[in-house]
Amino acid sequence: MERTIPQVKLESGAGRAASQFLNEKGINRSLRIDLRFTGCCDASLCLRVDDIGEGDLYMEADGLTFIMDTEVYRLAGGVAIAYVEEKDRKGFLLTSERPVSEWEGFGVSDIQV
Amino acid sequence: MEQYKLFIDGKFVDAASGKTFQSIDPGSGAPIATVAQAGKEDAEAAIAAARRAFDKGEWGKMSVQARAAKVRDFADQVARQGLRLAATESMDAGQVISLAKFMPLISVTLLRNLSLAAATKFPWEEEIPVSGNAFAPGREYIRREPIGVCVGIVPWNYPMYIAIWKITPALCMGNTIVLKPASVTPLTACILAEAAKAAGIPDGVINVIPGPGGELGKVLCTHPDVDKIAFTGSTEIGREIMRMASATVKKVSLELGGKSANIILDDADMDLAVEGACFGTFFHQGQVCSSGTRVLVPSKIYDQFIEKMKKRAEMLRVGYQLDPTSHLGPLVSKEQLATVERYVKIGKEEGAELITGGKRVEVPGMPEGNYFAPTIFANANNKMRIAQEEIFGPVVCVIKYDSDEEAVAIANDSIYGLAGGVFSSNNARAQRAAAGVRTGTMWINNYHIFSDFCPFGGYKQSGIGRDFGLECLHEYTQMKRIHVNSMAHSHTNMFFQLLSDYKKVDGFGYSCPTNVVAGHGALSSISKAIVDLGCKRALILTDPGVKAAGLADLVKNALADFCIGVFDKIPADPDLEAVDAATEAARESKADCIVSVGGGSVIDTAKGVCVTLKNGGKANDYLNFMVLTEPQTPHIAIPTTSGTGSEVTNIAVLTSHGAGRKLFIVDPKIIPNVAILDPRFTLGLPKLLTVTTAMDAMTHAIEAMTSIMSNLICDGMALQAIRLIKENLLIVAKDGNDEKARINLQVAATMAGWAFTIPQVGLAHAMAHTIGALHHVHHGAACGILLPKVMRYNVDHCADKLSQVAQAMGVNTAGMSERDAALAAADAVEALMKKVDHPMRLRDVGVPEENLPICAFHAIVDTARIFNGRPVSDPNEILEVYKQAY
Repeated sequence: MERTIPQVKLESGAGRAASQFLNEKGINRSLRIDLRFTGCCDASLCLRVDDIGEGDLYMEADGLTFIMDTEVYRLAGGVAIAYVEEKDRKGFLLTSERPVSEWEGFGVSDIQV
Repeated sequence: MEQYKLFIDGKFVDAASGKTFQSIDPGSGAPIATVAQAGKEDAEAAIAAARRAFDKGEWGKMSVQARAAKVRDFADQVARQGLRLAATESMDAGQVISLAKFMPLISVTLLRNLSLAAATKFPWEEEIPVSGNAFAPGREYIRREPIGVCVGIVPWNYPMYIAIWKITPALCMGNTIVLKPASVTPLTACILAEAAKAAGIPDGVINVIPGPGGELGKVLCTHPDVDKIAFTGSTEIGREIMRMASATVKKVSLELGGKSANIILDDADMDLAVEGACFGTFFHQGQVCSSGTRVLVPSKIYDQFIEKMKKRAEMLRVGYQLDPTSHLGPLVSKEQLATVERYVKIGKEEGAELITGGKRVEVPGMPEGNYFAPTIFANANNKMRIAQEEIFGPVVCVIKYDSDEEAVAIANDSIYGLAGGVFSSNNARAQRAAAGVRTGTMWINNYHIFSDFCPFGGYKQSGIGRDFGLECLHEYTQMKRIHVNSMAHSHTNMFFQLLSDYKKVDGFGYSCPTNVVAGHGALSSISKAIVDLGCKRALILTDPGVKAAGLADLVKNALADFCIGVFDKIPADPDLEAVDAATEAARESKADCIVSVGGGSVIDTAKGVCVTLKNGGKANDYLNFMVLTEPQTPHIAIPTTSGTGSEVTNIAVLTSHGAGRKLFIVDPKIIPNVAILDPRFTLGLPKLLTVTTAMDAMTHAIEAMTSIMSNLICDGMALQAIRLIKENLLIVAKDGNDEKARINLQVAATMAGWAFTIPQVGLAHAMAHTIGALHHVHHGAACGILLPKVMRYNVDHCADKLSQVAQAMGVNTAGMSERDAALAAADAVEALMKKVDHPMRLRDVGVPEENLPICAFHAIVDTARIFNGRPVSDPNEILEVYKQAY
């Protein structure tokens, strides 16, 4: 069953960067806001190319479809997605209503394919 | 409820913002303490305190022993707080008490072991016996110094122990530290601060600031007063820390994630392997970065293994962490519980077979606890996310393989490289597998074993740097090289002279330790020489001509039982392969002494053999300048010509086909121990060879005097050599059997060798080397032809020395200007050459005129040119000298 995520906020430029990434890869699929673990303590939120599954929440914004596992949404709440493009730092920065770790918003990540 | 404050500059203080947060018991969900929440202002205050303590405080200036004593006082205070620390660690981080009770103990041992090592074993200062720069003699040593202000960022799985990992080396090495514990487990770090205060660790040396990583991390990692960051945590955060630290080029050590493979080989003890797989994965609920969460099992025992592992996992008791019967406690937080559940869902979606666990566990009376069952995924493949991403929970994938090589390949198919294990009944096989896996630690028939002196850290994206051991002490120091010039005067410095018109190198060291025995019958001294050198097995090296002349047999007979053989295959102009062949003969015969009988080619080969025999490998390994640190294989040289002086010099000239030219071993350690000058060995030398080798010696003597590194001792040797050649060469040219003149020439050649072994030679040699290499002209003949021309070329830079040469050559210089006398010296050399029928021109020895330009280009890069009294950098000038000699 599909339900809408009430709060996914795309900061300026984030939607365009995500669309560009998907277009360049020739991907026409959804973006999952997912939990991931990159080692020794503290999970983080990331964007991952995926298809909607049973029990997923979804929302459309800037022509993109975002999906989120119900449990992940229950943990993190609403999510803001920014795109950072600095001299030596480039990627998506996800912050949530209820931070999933004390380091949330510290590091950037690419879209996982 | 207990309340904890920040610890900054030796004081327990509230956060500047007044904010606090609660720390939660993950087993019950109940808050257990209130903690001051540091913000930017507090982080800056902590850094300032640490900076002051480092720059102006006593800590870094204490003796290493005094500092170690203070660290031991700190260890004592940690021990005093042991029960409180263990209980708090268990309640705060969810460690079962049976594990947490060890934390104070192993923290104390780490503090004690590393502080003692820092005081007694760490190489704070290290001499560099061989600098590798032959032109700047002096003492060279390394001094290791503290880095400064360190930041330690600690994760939540072992909050106390990993805090000690950071504090211990930082303190032992004289640094100060700002410690940021994980926000979900801040309590034991705060207790450590109390222990530091009680131990009298000076204010500002340790600062503890619990608070949100995102906010504090930016301050700690970008602040210009921070010198080093030591972080244990996720790869994503570690990467960002590294990027931030790069702006001010801070030192960084990172211990990051892992997805370690635990390889079960088919000969493993099954019960041990199952225990190892379960312990490697489920210990501390799998919240260990080194966890072996990919268990690799051979297909042929896979089903049996899975059955046993499932059974064993289901025997593990999950319960409240303070219950001493619990094997597994809670996960550290609701977020971690959610993350683990998410990965279990992913594993199922990916098609792995969940054979046990995969769900929360309800512990009676603890409905809010974060308990999760030990979970096994069978039939997983290594491409699945559950096999590639660290889960940090009690979840393991068991992956099939069919060969040891495949197991190693699977183990390496990961972005991480932190740890791993191999279980096998065959240690050799297990060690081969362990060697193939690209990780920082491999355990064989064991897992999760940490030891104070064994380094721990990662390959690949598992981090950089090491915790534990002397290696981690190194990580907390800077390295400073100190050079103490042996000759502290501007006129002794070849490098300073690059900006000066004064090109002479004043000041010198002189050590030419060869024991010379000279005279008719001197050969008889050889057996005593062998005994004095402590040797018993002498191998004679010679060339076919000398052997045919019977000279090698003379030596063999003199050596009697000490002689173990004669190797007579040394060619003229020996190459590296000739040295290697002779070395092989020496190795096979177990020689402990080399006796060289021949000219420069034989003696130089023997020098190479002595080095290669002593140090192993091949001659090519040792073509270098002054890198040997020990006496080489003993060498007795018996020259059969009077020219090279190689019997007393520090140089061996050998042809390198790889380099396409003659190269050198230059080292005082290759100077022969004994030189025997017995005229019987030169009596049969043909006239042409006699005069050309003598002109080689003459060139050594004169170029030693005109070298920019000439010195008074060598000048004396050179002048006597010149006199002896001048007085005796003509005699020998007329009568090769004149023993007295022969011995005088031998002594002259030896003295000329002594003369140039320190100052080296000059342009005539550079040019002669080229002519020899390109046109195979005898070295002595080339030297002789070029020497007078180079003397004239040098006249305005070396007139004083050359005028002395004139006198030694018998020129009456009375009334002459110094310059005219110098020019007269060149004339006198030419006159002598003519009298003894020495070749006078390059055309006489087969050098084609059209090749002179290429010769000039080769000569300009010959090492000998560096020492020439007149600086020479223009190949056209060399070409002009060649033309004059043509």
